[in-house]
Amino acid sequence: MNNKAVSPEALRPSYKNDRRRPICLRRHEKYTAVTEGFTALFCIYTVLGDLFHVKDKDDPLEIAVFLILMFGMFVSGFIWTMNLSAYKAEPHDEMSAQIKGRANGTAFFLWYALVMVSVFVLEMIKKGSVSQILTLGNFYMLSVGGLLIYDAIRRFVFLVMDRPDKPDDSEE
Amino acid sequence: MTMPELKTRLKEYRAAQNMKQGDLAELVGVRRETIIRLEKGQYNPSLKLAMDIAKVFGATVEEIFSFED
Repeated sequence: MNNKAVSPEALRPSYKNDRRRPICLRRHEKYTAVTEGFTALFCIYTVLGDLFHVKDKDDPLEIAVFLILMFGMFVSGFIWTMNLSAYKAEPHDEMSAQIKGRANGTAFFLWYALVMVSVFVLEMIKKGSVSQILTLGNFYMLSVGGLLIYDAIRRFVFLVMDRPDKPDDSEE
Repeated sequence: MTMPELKTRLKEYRAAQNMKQGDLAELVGVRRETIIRLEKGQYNPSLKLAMDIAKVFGATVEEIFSFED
């Protein structure tokens, strides 16, 4: 870089002195969203397992579902942890903060719609299932699952909103 | 009331310094996407970011950014 006009005040010493390679903010959001998604599915599976008795490990189909969720959780969690421990995140600049703010609102409506659809579908499958879920001891898992799903949606919405236009994205 | 359109000469200044978008982004502590959108006039920078960019090029904020009604 040939730039003699750069003012030292404009530099970010702490960020630049950190020798770890930066991880792209978008990639970080993707890892987190996928990891949260799998963890949320696992939480929901645990709750619904109590309701529909799908945690019976004698059923090969249920074992397969359980293993897929566990495997997904393990892989995404492993990648996420390795990347966070090895790389520093890119600065969360003001544009990404603004987009995240807008994504919050959209994610809430999407999450709310998802909850309502789930309630209706569950009621259609099994009458009284929603009230049964709420009375289960696994309410904690349900709450955690709900929060994780909301956050995963928020990150996916951010990724969609943040997508730069392809033709002008290339460096000249 | 419509927001006036942001006009920027950021690309010219950057090209004059033979600087890449990623280099400028790192200098002012933002992502490359932010610089891309700034150059396309799709994003209004905060006063701090505008001043940081102006400092990098040794110019004033008004020389780089302006609004067109």
